[in-house]
Amino acid sequence: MDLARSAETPSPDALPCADGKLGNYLSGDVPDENKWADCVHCGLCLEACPTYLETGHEHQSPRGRVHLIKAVAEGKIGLNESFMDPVFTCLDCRACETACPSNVQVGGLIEEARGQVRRAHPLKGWKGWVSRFFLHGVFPHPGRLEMLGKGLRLLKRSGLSSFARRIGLMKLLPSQLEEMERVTPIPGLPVRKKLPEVVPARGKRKERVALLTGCVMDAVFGDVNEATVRVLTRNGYEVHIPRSQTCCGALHVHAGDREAGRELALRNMEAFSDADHVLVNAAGCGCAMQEYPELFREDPALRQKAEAFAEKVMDVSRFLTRYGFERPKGEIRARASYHDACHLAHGQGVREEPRWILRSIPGLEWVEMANADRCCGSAGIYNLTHPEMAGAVLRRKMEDVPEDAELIPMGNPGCMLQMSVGVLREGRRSKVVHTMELLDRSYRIGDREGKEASSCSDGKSGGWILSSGN
Amino acid sequence: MFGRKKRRLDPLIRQLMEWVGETNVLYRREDLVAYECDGFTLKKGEARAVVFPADTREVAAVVRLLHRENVPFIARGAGTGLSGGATPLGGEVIISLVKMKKLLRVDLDNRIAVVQPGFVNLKLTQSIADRGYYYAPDPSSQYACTIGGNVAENAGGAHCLKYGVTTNHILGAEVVLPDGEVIRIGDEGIPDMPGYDLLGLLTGSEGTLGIVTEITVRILKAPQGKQTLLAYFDDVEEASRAVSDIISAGILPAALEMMDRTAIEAVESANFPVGHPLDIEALLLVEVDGIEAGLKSQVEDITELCRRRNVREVKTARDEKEAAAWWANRKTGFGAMGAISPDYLVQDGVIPRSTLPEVLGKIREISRDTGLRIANIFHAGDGNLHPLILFDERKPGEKERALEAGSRCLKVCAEVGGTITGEHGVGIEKREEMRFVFTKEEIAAQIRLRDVFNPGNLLNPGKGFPQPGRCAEVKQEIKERRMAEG
Amino acid sequence: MTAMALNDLLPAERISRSESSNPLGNSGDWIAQPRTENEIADLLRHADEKGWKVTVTGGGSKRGYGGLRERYDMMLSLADLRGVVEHRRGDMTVTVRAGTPIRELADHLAEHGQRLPCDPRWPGTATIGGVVAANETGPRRLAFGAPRDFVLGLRVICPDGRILRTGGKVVKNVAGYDMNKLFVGSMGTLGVMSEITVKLRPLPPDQCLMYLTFPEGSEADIEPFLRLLRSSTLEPFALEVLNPVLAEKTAGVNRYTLAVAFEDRSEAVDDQVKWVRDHLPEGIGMEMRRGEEALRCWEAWAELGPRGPEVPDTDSPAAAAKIGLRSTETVSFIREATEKASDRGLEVFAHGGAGHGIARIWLRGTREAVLPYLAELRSVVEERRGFLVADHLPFEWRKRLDVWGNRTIPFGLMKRIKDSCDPNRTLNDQRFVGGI
Repeated sequence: MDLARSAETPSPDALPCADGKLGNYLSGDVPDENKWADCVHCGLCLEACPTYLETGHEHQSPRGRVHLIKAVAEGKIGLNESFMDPVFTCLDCRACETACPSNVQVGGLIEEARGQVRRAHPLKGWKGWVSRFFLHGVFPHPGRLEMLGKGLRLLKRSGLSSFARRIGLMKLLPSQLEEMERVTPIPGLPVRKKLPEVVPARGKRKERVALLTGCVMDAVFGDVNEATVRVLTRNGYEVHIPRSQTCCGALHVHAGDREAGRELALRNMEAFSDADHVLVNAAGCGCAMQEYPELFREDPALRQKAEAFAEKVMDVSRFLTRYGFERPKGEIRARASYHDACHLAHGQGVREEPRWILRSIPGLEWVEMANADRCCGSAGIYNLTHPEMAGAVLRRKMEDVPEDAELIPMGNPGCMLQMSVGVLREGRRSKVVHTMELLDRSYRIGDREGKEASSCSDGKSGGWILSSGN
Repeated sequence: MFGRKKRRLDPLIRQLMEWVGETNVLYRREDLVAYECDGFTLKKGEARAVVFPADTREVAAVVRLLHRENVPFIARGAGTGLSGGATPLGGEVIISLVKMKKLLRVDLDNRIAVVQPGFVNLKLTQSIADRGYYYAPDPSSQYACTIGGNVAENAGGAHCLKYGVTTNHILGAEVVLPDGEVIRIGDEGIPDMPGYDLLGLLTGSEGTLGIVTEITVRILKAPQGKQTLLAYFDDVEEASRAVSDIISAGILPAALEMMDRTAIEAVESANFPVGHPLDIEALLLVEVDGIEAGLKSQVEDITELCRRRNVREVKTARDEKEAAAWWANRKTGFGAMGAISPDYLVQDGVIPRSTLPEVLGKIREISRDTGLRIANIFHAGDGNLHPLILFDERKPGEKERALEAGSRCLKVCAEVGGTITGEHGVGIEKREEMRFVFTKEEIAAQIRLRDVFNPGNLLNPGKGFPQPGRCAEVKQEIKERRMAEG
Repeated sequence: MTAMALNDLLPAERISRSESSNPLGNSGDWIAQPRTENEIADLLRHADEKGWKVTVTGGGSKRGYGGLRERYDMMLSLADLRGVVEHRRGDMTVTVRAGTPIRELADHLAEHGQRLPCDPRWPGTATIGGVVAANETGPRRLAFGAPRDFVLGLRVICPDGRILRTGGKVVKNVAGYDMNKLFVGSMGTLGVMSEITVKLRPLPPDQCLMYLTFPEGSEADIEPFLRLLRSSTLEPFALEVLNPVLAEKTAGVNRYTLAVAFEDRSEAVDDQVKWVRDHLPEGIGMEMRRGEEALRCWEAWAELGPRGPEVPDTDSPAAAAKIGLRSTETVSFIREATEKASDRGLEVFAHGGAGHGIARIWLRGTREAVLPYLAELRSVVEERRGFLVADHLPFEWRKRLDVWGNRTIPFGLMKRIKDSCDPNRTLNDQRFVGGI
């Protein structure tokens, strides 16, 4: 990769330790000293880190990265490409935070460091193109996202893609994109297009909730969003889908574009200002929105606002187990093995909730996946920017996925795409699904069977409600 | 790959690359920074390069090259050591063994396993647990530390009270000597091979006598039953007397751990809290294991002994999950210090168990004198103390006071007939304190032994033994660094 | 050197000229009986300077163990250097002088409910120093480990008279090199141990020893039963396979026999005994000794093999060997050793630890019969990457059969260790592997 520096960006290598700055960092939004002060260099994070497991390199480990971030602050090393590589090779999977005995917020530090690097070295080349195309050209614009979804739908429906594949046209795409295209489902209509802004609850309204439809989720996995809405409404929740919502900004923050991240955060905080609960069915988005306060740590007023907002953000599985859901009755006879999305398990501590939900589905045979909370290598657009590492991480992940699992449920669209690539590469027969899809399917099967039996009255909700603390 | 003009490479680096491949040599400053220290962070140095050999042949080739070129070198595993054993002093080539991480063979019937040095300690137990076996030495860093590193440090752990330390579980090894010669000691895990106990000498030699490239370890059948107890005390002295009482009663717990109030505060405010009361002065975590039928009466005996020492509460873990949570809380205790203090220095003195109350009192005095908080998390059953001295490196003078407090703790241990390190090793950290326990002559005898294996002193130089005139140097160095840091 | 010179170092009654020799070799022209460390240091320094060769002895039980010298200039007897120096009961450690017989130490410890985790042969004769120098173990090694595992610290007198301390008095210690390992099992070739600090264990609340006898024709059942036992969660202290002649002496039955021992709280012992009963194949005889009875069995067992100081029968002297193998090969080895002996018209006593892989055999016979037998066994064992050390042979025989075997070991390194510690080869010259 070329790192020619443009005229307007100062070379940090050349910068002296000027006043008001920390070591070799650019002034403003510097990585938080208190975050690395918590690190005692014990190394218990090493084996949790997918990139350390692959490389064995200390600077590609959480401890090593924190050490490097500190070293820039100490003026030992510059804010240059050798610093950039480890900081950007991080998958931001947060597994280290789960392993860390002293609660070091590695993810936050990495994102802050990326912000510094991006300010010093704007991206060029392929990575720059991918990054700009998605982060600025697509994600913040629902319209364009829909276009992309539409295009994809057309491509798939028309059989053009298989034709293109046959004649080798698809080979022109980088292999990881080509595979990604192959595993992408025929997208359903985005719910923002299909559903009204307010979808009423079925029966008596218990709570009002707002749904973040997400970018990838809505464009590629619109069906999942629809399923989520059905699940929520059937359980007595009125679902609001604010039209002014936008991309959560996770990918921007991961990529170091914290300014764009802040912009999107502000738009969303505004769009969801009326909501009591902001529900998310994409782990990455949920985690990012809960971390909005991090983006405004230098602005107390906004920070406070962001904190209040973050309080309302919740993964849909956690919401359902906390506020109650009807026990599904429709049988799904299949062997399922759940994958913990990093930003659910490590990022939000949501581990048991999806399992409770899934295990309440009759007929589902449960196989616990080894290292279920190990990253699959998706990590936003990581699989596009670091295809080799992402591939290696995926290979290791697939070793842990039971061969005989027919369903692999999870709670994040990025993981769904990546794991589908894994299934494709390994020639497995497993189907990758979202937790909400399975729950919705069980409800629908149950309803159908209920009608066939034509006995039970409709009004009664199915007694067994999980409540928080169970 | 970064488009940087191909720099003129150090010819040594090029030669190393020829042996292990270009991607398996790190040499850029930024990459080396991450290797400037291990789990002991008070001393840092810059390595010349880091190499990642893939097998014994490559290790031997690299060592032969470095020996020929008279370049000092260090073997390194996960870098979780707590005494600076894997920290370069400056200019060494680090031979990282983390890519040699295979489990080569398991022979359950003969109860042995053969591993490469980079294989992670806990992985061994995880690989054989489904068949009811485990590997006994369990240092708190077992989630990450490698068995090669365990051999170098003769690692201990919570369960060595009953089961012994690493040296009691190593049955054979393939070793690359500092001149590149490869030797094998022990075979098929058969004990008592004729000849001097080279394996025993290598274990705990802190990587100064040779580099292990393959290790045969003993594995054990997991005990039939296990009971874990927590005893909360309102008085530290009573707790320490209870420890002696338990052992004197002829009970041999698998583990007998103690934490004091400050330590409890740390673990409860860190990542793995289990709800210990915050107003107790000490807790004992006791595990007895063995034949199920014999455990009940042991638990009763221990409970009774604690009662006689005015314990506030004794509870037995309801299930394995609860016991595991108690242990996770204990084992991440050092790291948990990060939650209540920016920096800590952990010491590792050992004392005769019976002097526990006296020594803990003296440690409290040291804490008062230096004005630094000292937490205690330790293996009470075998008298292995871990005073954790809390400080903030950013506050001028605190690091020096912490070092002084640490040294004084060790002096106390030596004075009551104990030693300066039970499992962390001497490394860089306790080089000077070696004088607390050994005479000049005894140290000279050890150096003569090193010369037999490592005549040029190229392998991990400057570790383990007092350096002539070092005390003054260190102080000077700290002063200089502080000034440089401004 | 003259008696005059030695008399300056030691009172006359404790130094004597000796003309007598022993067919086991390892005799001394002078026999010195120091009582203090300093006396040993003076004697050694003197010898080292004069180029004398010195052998060290305790109770003499290992007189026939290694050594290519019939006589040394001086035999240093530590028999007078005995007694407990410090027994820290609460710490479960004891420091004891090297010449203390094992039984004397055991009796002392038993009064306090403790014991040395070691059950060597001839505990009345063998001293702690000798047991440590030879890293000697008995059947209960399975639970006890070996001296290398329980020695915490030593005081050692170097050949040049320097006194060193190694290790310490606490149960965990990684300060400096583990110098104890230099001396444990080194057959007295590197230094003379004067004091030994060891880790103790509590006396067991209860114990039992079960003899399981396998009728003729059912020997093939032993290994599967052992495999079952080894893969169970039982915690046997001993798991020894005995050949018929040895079983006759110990259990009173002339059959292949498995000796299984448990030591624990009574409930736990009962539980394990029950397991064995429940899993025993049909037709296998079982006899059990409990408590004191078990203890007496162990004591009798320890006094079965040949022993050093006794002058051997010249027509048909005794020979013994220690064999190391993978534990799964113990049964087949014991049977092979027994059959190969009977092919040669020899009667061999043999037992082996099916949990730790150390086996012992002893027999009587002429040189022409015994040595080829041992050589044949050795080749069998070495083929399986094990070893056979002939740890009791008449001196003349040792010249014909290498006591230590033919396994390739890192000998260069060992020789450099010897040269570094004892450059003049003063101590136990040629007593150890490769003529060290």
